[in-house]
Amino acid sequence: MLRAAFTRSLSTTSSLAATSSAATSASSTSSAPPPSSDVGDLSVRRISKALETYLRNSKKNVAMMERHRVEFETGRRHLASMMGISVHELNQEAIDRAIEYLFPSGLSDPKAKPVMRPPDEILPRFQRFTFDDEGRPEGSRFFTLSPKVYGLLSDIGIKTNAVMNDLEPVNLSGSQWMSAEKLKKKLGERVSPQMYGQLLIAFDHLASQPASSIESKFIMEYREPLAASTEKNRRFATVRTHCKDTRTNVTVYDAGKGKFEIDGLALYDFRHLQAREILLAPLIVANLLGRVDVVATSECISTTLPEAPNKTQVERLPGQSSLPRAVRHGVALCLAALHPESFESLRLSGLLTLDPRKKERSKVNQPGARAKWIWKRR
Amino acid sequence: MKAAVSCCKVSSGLVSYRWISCSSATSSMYDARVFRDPILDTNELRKPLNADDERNFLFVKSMKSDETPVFYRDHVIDKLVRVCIKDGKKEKARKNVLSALETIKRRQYKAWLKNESSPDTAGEANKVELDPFVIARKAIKNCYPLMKLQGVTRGGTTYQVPFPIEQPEAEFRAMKSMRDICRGRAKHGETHFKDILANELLAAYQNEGLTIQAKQELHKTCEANRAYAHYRS
Repeated sequence: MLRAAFTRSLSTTSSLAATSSAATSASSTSSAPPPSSDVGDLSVRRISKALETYLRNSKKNVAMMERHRVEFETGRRHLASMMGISVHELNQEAIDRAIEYLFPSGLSDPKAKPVMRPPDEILPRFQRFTFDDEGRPEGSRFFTLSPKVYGLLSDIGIKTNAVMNDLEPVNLSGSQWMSAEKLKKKLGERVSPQMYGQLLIAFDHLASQPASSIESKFIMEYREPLAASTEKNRRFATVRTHCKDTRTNVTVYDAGKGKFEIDGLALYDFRHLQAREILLAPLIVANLLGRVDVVATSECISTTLPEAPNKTQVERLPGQSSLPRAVRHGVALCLAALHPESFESLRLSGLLTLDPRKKERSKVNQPGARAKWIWKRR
Repeated sequence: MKAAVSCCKVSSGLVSYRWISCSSATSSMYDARVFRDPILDTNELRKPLNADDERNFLFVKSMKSDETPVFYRDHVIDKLVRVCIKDGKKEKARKNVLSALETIKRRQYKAWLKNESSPDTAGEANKVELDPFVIARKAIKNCYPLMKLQGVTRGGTTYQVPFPIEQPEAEFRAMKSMRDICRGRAKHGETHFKDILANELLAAYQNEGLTIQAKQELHKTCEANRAYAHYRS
């Protein structure tokens, strides 16, 4: 009954306990009997243990604060009559002076001296959380118990990342420097071939700096998209490769944002850390992390082969590590085609080599490829 | 490779040609004559290759799955993960080892904070090591045995003969003894491998704990079996 009442009050006041008045309204509705329609309702939602505890503590805190407020008010009146002044004249300064007069103390530690202040100022604040209609806490940071601090920490992290991400060279792929003719038109001045060469050298030097992306807006003003590679029509390379039983068609688009789409899955849908590492390997080696987009589809080679007529086709899926490895090989080949300067490092790190290893066939009269049955005399 | 070639010759003499695999079971898919190991260090990759390096004109083996040059690659941790694998569940083993490192980090941080706030160490540099990777590396190094015992049969009797070991094997044996000790103490559902591994690594970092005891025990046995050393051959 109580639970149902809580849930009802929650669903009616969607942000319970956002203020103390909301909490008191919740407590008042909880004491009232719930309507009869709710008793027979099978869809009454249970509330969690944590929320129950929170509600109890919240209610207790409201009652406690109310009591203290009343006590403070009474005490103030008594103090006023003791000091012989009217209640309205007794502000906080007057109270402090009166307390100092009534309880003279030789102690110097401020914590050891008696005080009289409104309870809202001196009692520890009760942290209030907001809840949604289902009675779940809003925002996953609720579970850290100090959502504000961790929120701020997270904000700082995001800002730091943004600053650090800016510290990378500007993405020049898919565009070229403006031609001399166009530059002439843009500047409205005569541009001799020597001047144009000087400008290009200066621009190239700026663009080659490690943090040149800070000035990417300025740089991009003087660049134009390559003829066949506008934003919609980017440079790309496609490759078909395999690893063990998994065959993949990999397409790598230049001038991308580092997006992965492997059978519709993003990079972070791969739960194994090792799989993610494998997928990122060619980008790390070619130093193109976050600069190309990868799209890949996969199938099993064995399912495309004809099966014996009396056998049904076995359902097979690409392997947990062979799929990333196949994609890795495809991405490496595409990157070597799109960025020839990275060819040598890709080759030396072994990413352009097709992994020739296969599952070894099991042998007759043996449990596996190499394993043997335990020898028994009889 | 040789076996396969001879097999081809035999089968080509037959009327109906049929490939029979008779290549040696131990041969690698990479021909040792034309394949060399890849370079896995990104800094080294950026530099031009030496003129006398064989990789200038030979093939390079494919990069292994667990050798991606990510910035947190650590030889000792990777090897520890490989040693701790059970039933081929590498991700599980990795999770165990990494959560042990996390526990170590938390504990060391707590100790560091305590050291920082305590009045008697005020002004001194805080000496608590906070990097769990450094701790794990040193802990494993402390567990390196100096010798190994190997059974040698002479005249129908097997003697436990002490042999010298190389550094990679010492590393492996240190990890293996630590893994066996942790596994023996981990009871399903009650005590967990990762917690025990964290304890054991922290103890070994201080030159204490069961793994260090096992190493000392091994050294003692080697000392006792010194007389059999001449069976080494």
